[in-house]
Amino acid sequence: MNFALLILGPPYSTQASTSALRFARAALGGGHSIYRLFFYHDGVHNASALVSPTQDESNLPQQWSELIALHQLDSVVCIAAATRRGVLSEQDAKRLGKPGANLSLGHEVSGLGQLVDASLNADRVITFG
Amino acid sequence: MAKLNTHKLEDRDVLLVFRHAPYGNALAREGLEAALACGAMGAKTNILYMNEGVWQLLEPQNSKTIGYKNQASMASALALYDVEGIWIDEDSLRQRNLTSVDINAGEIIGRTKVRALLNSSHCILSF
Repeated sequence: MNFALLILGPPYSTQASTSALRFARAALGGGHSIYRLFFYHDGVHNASALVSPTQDESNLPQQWSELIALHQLDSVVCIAAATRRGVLSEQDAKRLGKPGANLSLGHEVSGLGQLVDASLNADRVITFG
Repeated sequence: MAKLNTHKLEDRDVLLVFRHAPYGNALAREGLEAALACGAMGAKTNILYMNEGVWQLLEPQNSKTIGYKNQASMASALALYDVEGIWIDEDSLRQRNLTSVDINAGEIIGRTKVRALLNSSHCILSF
Protein backbone atom coordinates (compact mmCIF):
# COMPACT_ATOMS: atom_id res chain seq x y z
CA MET A 1 0.00 0.00 0.00
CA ASN A 2 1.10 3.52 -0.74
CA PHE A 3 0.78 5.73 2.34
CA ALA A 4 0.96 9.48 2.82
CA LEU A 5 1.65 10.79 6.32
CA LEU A 6 0.33 14.11 7.56
CA ILE A 7 2.40 15.08 10.59
CA LEU A 8 0.86 17.83 12.73
CA GLY A 9 2.53 17.18 16.08
CA PRO A 10 5.82 18.77 17.16
CA PRO A 11 8.75 16.69 18.38
CA TYR A 12 8.81 15.91 22.12
CA SER A 13 5.72 17.91 23.22
CA THR A 14 3.42 15.10 22.15
CA GLN A 15 3.91 11.53 20.97
CA ALA A 16 2.47 12.22 17.51
CA SER A 17 5.71 12.67 15.65
CA THR A 18 7.40 9.68 17.32
CA SER A 19 4.41 7.55 16.36
CA ALA A 20 4.58 8.84 12.79
CA LEU A 21 8.26 7.97 12.57
CA ARG A 22 7.66 4.48 13.96
CA PHE A 23 4.72 3.99 11.63
CA ALA A 24 6.83 5.05 8.64
CA ARG A 25 9.57 2.58 9.59
CA ALA A 26 7.07 -0.22 10.12
CA ALA A 27 5.29 0.47 6.83
CA LEU A 28 8.53 0.52 4.84
CA GLY A 29 9.79 -2.55 6.71
CA GLY A 30 6.57 -4.36 5.84
CA GLY A 31 7.06 -3.78 2.13
CA HIS A 32 4.73 -0.79 1.78
CA SER A 33 5.73 2.48 0.25
CA ILE A 34 5.36 6.09 1.30
CA TYR A 35 4.04 8.52 -1.26
CA ARG A 36 4.89 11.59 0.76
CA LEU A 37 5.56 12.94 4.23
CA PHE A 38 3.79 16.25 4.73
CA PHE A 39 4.77 18.33 7.76
CA TYR A 40 2.15 20.88 8.73
CA HIS A 41 0.99 22.86 11.78
CA ASP A 42 3.43 22.29 14.69
CA GLY A 43 4.78 19.29 12.78
CA VAL A 44 7.11 21.63 10.89
CA HIS A 45 9.38 21.70 13.96
CA ASN A 46 10.35 18.14 13.03
CA ALA A 47 12.27 19.70 10.17
CA SER A 48 14.35 22.04 12.32
CA ALA A 49 18.06 21.26 12.23
CA LEU A 50 18.53 23.29 15.42
CA VAL A 51 16.66 20.82 17.63
CA SER A 52 19.22 19.66 20.20
CA PRO A 53 17.99 17.16 22.77
CA THR A 54 20.29 15.78 25.46
CA GLN A 55 22.43 12.78 24.56
CA ASP A 56 20.22 10.24 26.28
CA GLU A 57 17.23 11.29 24.18
CA SER A 58 16.70 10.53 20.51
CA ASN A 59 16.98 13.38 18.04
CA LEU A 60 13.70 13.21 16.12
CA PRO A 61 14.50 15.70 13.32
CA GLN A 62 17.77 13.87 12.71
CA GLN A 63 15.97 10.52 12.61
CA TRP A 64 13.48 11.88 10.10
CA SER A 65 16.37 13.09 7.91
CA GLU A 66 18.04 9.69 8.15
CA LEU A 67 14.86 7.83 7.23
CA ILE A 68 14.21 10.17 4.30
CA ALA A 69 17.77 9.69 3.01
CA LEU A 70 17.74 5.91 3.48
CA HIS A 71 14.50 5.38 1.57
CA GLN A 72 14.70 8.47 -0.62
CA LEU A 73 11.33 9.62 0.64
CA ASP A 74 9.48 12.62 -0.68
CA SER A 75 9.20 14.98 2.28
CA VAL A 76 7.44 18.32 2.12
CA VAL A 77 7.25 21.01 4.79
CA CYS A 78 4.39 23.49 4.37
CA ILE A 79 5.94 26.86 3.64
CA ALA A 80 3.25 28.97 5.35
CA ALA A 81 3.25 26.87 8.53
CA ALA A 82 7.06 26.67 8.59
CA THR A 83 7.89 30.32 7.99
CA ARG A 84 5.46 31.55 10.64
CA ARG A 85 7.16 29.19 13.10
CA GLY A 86 10.71 30.04 12.09
CA VAL A 87 11.64 26.91 10.17
CA LEU A 88 13.43 28.38 7.17
CA SER A 89 15.27 27.09 4.14
CA GLU A 90 18.37 28.97 2.95
CA GLN A 91 16.30 30.55 0.24
CA ASP A 92 13.49 31.66 2.56
CA ALA A 93 15.90 33.03 5.16
CA LYS A 94 17.54 35.13 2.48
CA ARG A 95 14.22 36.25 1.01
CA LEU A 96 12.86 37.26 4.42
CA GLY A 97 16.09 38.87 5.62
CA LYS A 98 16.53 36.47 8.54
CA PRO A 99 19.92 35.76 10.17
CA GLY A 100 19.98 32.02 9.51
CA ALA A 101 18.35 29.00 7.93
CA ASN A 102 17.51 25.82 9.85
CA LEU A 103 15.66 23.44 7.53
CA SER A 104 17.17 20.01 8.08
CA LEU A 105 18.34 17.76 5.28
CA GLY A 106 15.97 15.86 3.06
CA HIS A 107 12.96 18.16 3.25
CA GLU A 108 11.58 20.44 0.62
CA VAL A 109 9.53 23.52 1.33
CA SER A 110 6.33 23.78 -0.67
CA GLY A 111 2.65 24.64 -0.46
CA LEU A 112 -0.57 22.95 0.61
CA GLY A 113 -1.04 21.78 -2.98
CA GLN A 114 1.36 18.97 -2.13
CA LEU A 115 -0.99 17.83 0.64
CA VAL A 116 -3.95 17.91 -1.73
CA ASP A 117 -1.95 15.94 -4.28
CA ALA A 118 -0.99 13.34 -1.65
CA SER A 119 -4.59 13.11 -0.45
CA LEU A 120 -5.78 12.28 -3.93
CA ASN A 121 -3.01 9.97 -5.03
CA ALA A 122 -1.95 7.97 -1.97
CA ASP A 123 -3.95 4.87 -1.06
CA ARG A 124 -4.24 6.07 2.55
CA VAL A 125 -3.41 9.30 4.33
CA ILE A 126 -2.69 8.95 8.03
CA THR A 127 -2.85 12.02 10.26
CA PHE A 128 -0.50 12.20 13.26
CA GLY A 129 -1.26 15.07 15.59
CA MET B 1 9.15 16.26 -4.60
CA ALA B 2 6.82 14.75 -7.14
CA LYS B 3 5.08 16.88 -9.70
CA LEU B 4 1.47 17.65 -8.95
CA ASN B 5 -0.55 14.79 -10.27
CA THR B 6 -4.14 15.78 -10.82
CA HIS B 7 -5.41 13.12 -13.17
CA LYS B 8 -7.51 11.44 -10.51
CA LEU B 9 -9.13 14.58 -9.19
CA GLU B 10 -12.61 13.75 -10.40
CA ASP B 11 -13.07 10.35 -8.84
CA ARG B 12 -11.50 10.92 -5.44
CA ASP B 13 -12.71 13.09 -2.62
CA VAL B 14 -11.23 14.55 0.53
CA LEU B 15 -13.02 14.87 3.84
CA LEU B 16 -11.54 17.24 6.39
CA VAL B 17 -12.68 16.63 9.95
CA PHE B 18 -12.44 19.62 12.26
CA ARG B 19 -12.45 18.54 15.89
CA HIS B 20 -10.83 21.41 17.77
CA ALA B 21 -12.06 24.72 19.18
CA PRO B 22 -11.40 27.80 17.02
CA TYR B 23 -8.76 29.39 19.25
CA GLY B 24 -6.11 28.26 21.70
CA ASN B 25 -4.52 26.13 19.02
CA ALA B 26 -3.77 26.76 15.34
CA LEU B 27 -5.40 23.50 14.17
CA ALA B 28 -8.69 25.21 13.31
CA ARG B 29 -7.05 27.92 11.26
CA GLU B 30 -4.56 25.69 9.49
CA GLY B 31 -7.17 23.01 8.89
CA LEU B 32 -9.33 25.58 7.19
CA GLU B 33 -6.39 26.69 5.06
CA ALA B 34 -5.93 23.08 3.99
CA ALA B 35 -9.64 22.89 3.10
CA LEU B 36 -9.39 26.04 1.01
CA ALA B 37 -6.38 24.59 -0.81
CA CYS B 38 -8.32 21.38 -1.55
CA GLY B 39 -11.24 23.37 -2.94
CA ALA B 40 -9.07 25.76 -4.90
CA MET B 41 -7.25 22.84 -6.55
CA GLY B 42 -10.49 21.30 -7.71
CA ALA B 43 -10.57 18.33 -5.35
CA LYS B 44 -14.03 17.20 -4.31
CA THR B 45 -13.95 18.55 -0.78
CA ASN B 46 -16.20 17.99 2.21
CA ILE B 47 -15.82 19.28 5.74
CA LEU B 48 -17.22 17.70 8.88
CA TYR B 49 -17.34 19.70 12.10
CA MET B 50 -17.54 17.55 15.19
CA ASN B 51 -16.68 17.50 18.90
CA GLU B 52 -15.12 20.82 19.95
CA GLY B 53 -14.86 21.72 16.26
CA VAL B 54 -18.49 22.86 16.20
CA TRP B 55 -17.45 25.99 18.14
CA GLN B 56 -15.61 27.12 15.01
CA LEU B 57 -18.97 28.00 13.45
CA LEU B 58 -20.41 29.84 16.45
CA GLU B 59 -22.02 33.11 15.44
CA PRO B 60 -21.45 35.73 16.70
CA GLN B 61 -17.85 35.36 17.79
CA ASN B 62 -15.31 38.13 18.20
CA SER B 63 -11.62 37.33 18.17
CA LYS B 64 -10.33 40.88 17.78
CA THR B 65 -9.32 41.31 21.39
CA ILE B 66 -7.06 38.25 21.25
CA GLY B 67 -5.55 39.28 17.91
CA TYR B 68 -6.76 36.36 15.81
CA LYS B 69 -8.76 36.20 12.61
CA ASN B 70 -12.43 35.40 13.07
CA GLN B 71 -12.75 31.69 12.43
CA ALA B 72 -16.49 31.79 11.64
CA SER B 73 -15.98 34.53 9.03
CA MET B 74 -13.21 32.50 7.43
CA ALA B 75 -15.47 29.45 7.37
CA SER B 76 -18.18 31.43 5.62
CA ALA B 77 -15.77 31.91 2.69
CA LEU B 78 -15.68 28.15 2.08
CA ALA B 79 -18.37 28.25 -0.58
CA LEU B 80 -16.24 30.62 -2.66
CA TYR B 81 -13.52 27.99 -2.79
CA ASP B 82 -15.69 25.25 -4.23
CA VAL B 83 -16.00 23.29 -1.03
CA GLU B 84 -18.76 20.84 -1.79
CA GLY B 85 -20.33 20.08 1.55
CA ILE B 86 -20.12 21.54 5.04
CA TRP B 87 -21.53 19.08 7.58
CA ILE B 88 -22.07 19.41 11.30
CA ASP B 89 -22.44 16.52 13.69
CA GLU B 90 -25.78 16.81 15.46
CA ASP B 91 -24.66 14.98 18.62
CA SER B 92 -21.71 17.34 19.09
CA LEU B 93 -24.02 20.35 18.84
CA ARG B 94 -26.54 18.90 21.28
CA GLN B 95 -23.86 17.97 23.84
CA ARG B 96 -22.85 21.64 23.87
CA ASN B 97 -26.39 22.97 24.07
CA LEU B 98 -26.10 24.53 20.60
CA THR B 99 -28.72 24.54 17.83
CA SER B 100 -28.88 25.59 14.20
CA VAL B 101 -29.48 29.23 15.18
CA ASP B 102 -26.08 29.42 16.91
CA ILE B 103 -23.99 28.51 13.87
CA ASN B 104 -23.37 30.31 10.61
CA ALA B 105 -22.90 27.63 7.96
CA GLY B 106 -23.36 24.00 7.10
CA GLU B 107 -25.94 21.27 7.29
CA ILE B 108 -26.61 19.41 10.50
CA ILE B 109 -26.51 15.64 10.12
CA GLY B 110 -27.18 12.74 12.48
CA ARG B 111 -25.00 9.81 13.45
CA THR B 112 -25.98 7.61 10.50
CA LYS B 113 -25.05 10.23 7.94
CA VAL B 114 -21.83 11.05 9.76
CA ARG B 115 -20.87 7.39 9.62
CA ALA B 116 -21.74 7.18 5.92
CA LEU B 117 -19.65 10.27 5.18
CA LEU B 118 -16.64 8.82 7.00
CA ASN B 119 -17.07 5.48 5.24
CA SER B 120 -17.44 6.83 1.74
CA SER B 121 -14.60 9.36 1.67
CA HIS B 122 -11.43 8.34 -0.13
CA CYS B 123 -9.23 10.40 2.14
CA ILE B 124 -9.79 11.82 5.62
CA LEU B 125 -7.63 14.59 7.02
CA SER B 126 -8.16 15.20 10.69
CA PHE B 127 -7.55 18.57 12.32
